Amino acid sequence: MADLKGRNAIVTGAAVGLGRSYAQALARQGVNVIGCDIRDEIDTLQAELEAMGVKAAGIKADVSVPADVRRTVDEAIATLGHIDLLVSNAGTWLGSVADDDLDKTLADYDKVVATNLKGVFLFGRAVIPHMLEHGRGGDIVNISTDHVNTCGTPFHVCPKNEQCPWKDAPRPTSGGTMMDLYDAAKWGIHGLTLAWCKALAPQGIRVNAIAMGATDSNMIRGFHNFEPSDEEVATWMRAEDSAQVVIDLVGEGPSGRNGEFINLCVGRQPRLEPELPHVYILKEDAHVIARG
Amino acid sequence: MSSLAGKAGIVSGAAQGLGLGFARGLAQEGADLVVFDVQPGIEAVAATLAKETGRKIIGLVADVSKRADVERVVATTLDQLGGIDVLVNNAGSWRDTPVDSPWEQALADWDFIMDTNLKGLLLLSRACVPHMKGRPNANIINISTYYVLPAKSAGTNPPNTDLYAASKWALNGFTDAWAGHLAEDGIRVNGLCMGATDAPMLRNLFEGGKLPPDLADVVMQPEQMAQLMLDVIREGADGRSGENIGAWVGEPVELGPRKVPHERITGFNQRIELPR
Repeated sequence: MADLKGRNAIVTGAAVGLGRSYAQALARQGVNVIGCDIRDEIDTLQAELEAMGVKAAGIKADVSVPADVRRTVDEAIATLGHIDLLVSNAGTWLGSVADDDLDKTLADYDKVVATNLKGVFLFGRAVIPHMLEHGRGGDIVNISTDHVNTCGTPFHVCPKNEQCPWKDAPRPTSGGTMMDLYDAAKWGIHGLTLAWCKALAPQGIRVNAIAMGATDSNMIRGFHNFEPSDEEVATWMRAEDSAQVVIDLVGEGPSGRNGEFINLCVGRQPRLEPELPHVYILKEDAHVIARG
Repeated sequence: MSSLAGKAGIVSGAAQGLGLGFARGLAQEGADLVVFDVQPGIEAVAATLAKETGRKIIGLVADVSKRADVERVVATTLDQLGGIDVLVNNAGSWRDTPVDSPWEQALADWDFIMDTNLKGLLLLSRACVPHMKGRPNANIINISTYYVLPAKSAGTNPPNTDLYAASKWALNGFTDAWAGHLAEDGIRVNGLCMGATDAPMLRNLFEGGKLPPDLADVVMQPEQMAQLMLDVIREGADGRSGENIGAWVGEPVELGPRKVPHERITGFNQRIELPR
């Protein structure tokens, strides 16, 4: 695995939960980390990570606000010189259903889509030109959810379904019916991930997504009104395991996988599995592709 | 040919191309429609369609991304047609959105694509759903794209379409969640994910709006997509819901068998063996 010491990272939503774990795990590898969050706990990040011997900062910022994103990325570059790694982790949750009224719907859209999808878009688009200019390659890791299907592909769309390695495996589908905006935003991340990995592969920038199953975090505890039963908690993955997957993924280096939706499902060992076979690869020629 | 006689439908983005194809297909099957578009030509299009099919077709200039416009479309439909049986979420915007665009351009691109393709579709659907409940065989059709492809396919979606791709991928969340939530209200929700279809959105990618000969030979036609949509509707109240239906250039354009309902992971601790 590549030595990550001395690399520079941005982690969004780094105050608590998964994001904090990513920041800590990266710092343990010697990675300098700029974290951002809307939560006050971000104020303690710098001291904690600096005590681990790396450069660090915690910035109060809202990923859904373009000016905040711009400021965070600019400050990160000013502090660290350049950015090698972006972990777009910040996310929010609320319930929304098909027959909500328009007032609630517009408010929900402005919260969930703005944070979970626009936030990923904004951070990616702020960091990508910098990575390209700097010419050192890099990694973008977008945090998604296992509400999307196992392989990240909507069933029945794939013309190669017979070759799908998941075809006999149970597929988790969306979060059911009560999180349509959350699920839509997370599916959207996959569109960004795919487009970016294709555009940036020639420049040595890898873009992958991690589709997280239930993990002990602030978000899921909130979902359970902060009173989850012990039995429930015992089934959750631990944030440290997820963080190790990020470390292993980035550690693959420039020749590692690109454009993969890494699925961490409850009930499975949360670890970076070998790269999925390119079963879906279709030919470059659009017409051949269309014929499958 | 009147399987939709007495039905009322809404088609967004119906002034041309695919939207017009969907509207014509529905009208030919006997449905009355409210069609709308940001293009002023929609009123003339509606008049022509009405003459052509003998149906009541109302054309409105309206922007799907604006709440007031959406509410006007729905109110007009209820007033003029008495209800909503079919909603075709077709309106969409497209533009090249290179990953290294200047910051201000990226922000403008987000609004341009997402306001129509994601927020607009959401607004229109939310506004229609209460009026579709309990109608026999109510259908929402979300128009998507074959960009919604497997993770490891190469050379498919052009790299300069991150926002368009994201907006269409996001529809999966809607199609799936709505199908489940609205099942007991009798509303079916499906997506159509199509490859290259002869429509202005495709033609505008080429100089002079002219398709290259090799593409012109194989490109699919809006009428084919309309038939595919009608096939979904014709399945009736017990038909499929929550599916993305693919249509690929070079493949037969036909409604495949219904998907086998896949198991959801419901039990924690359920072990899933990775295929090797």
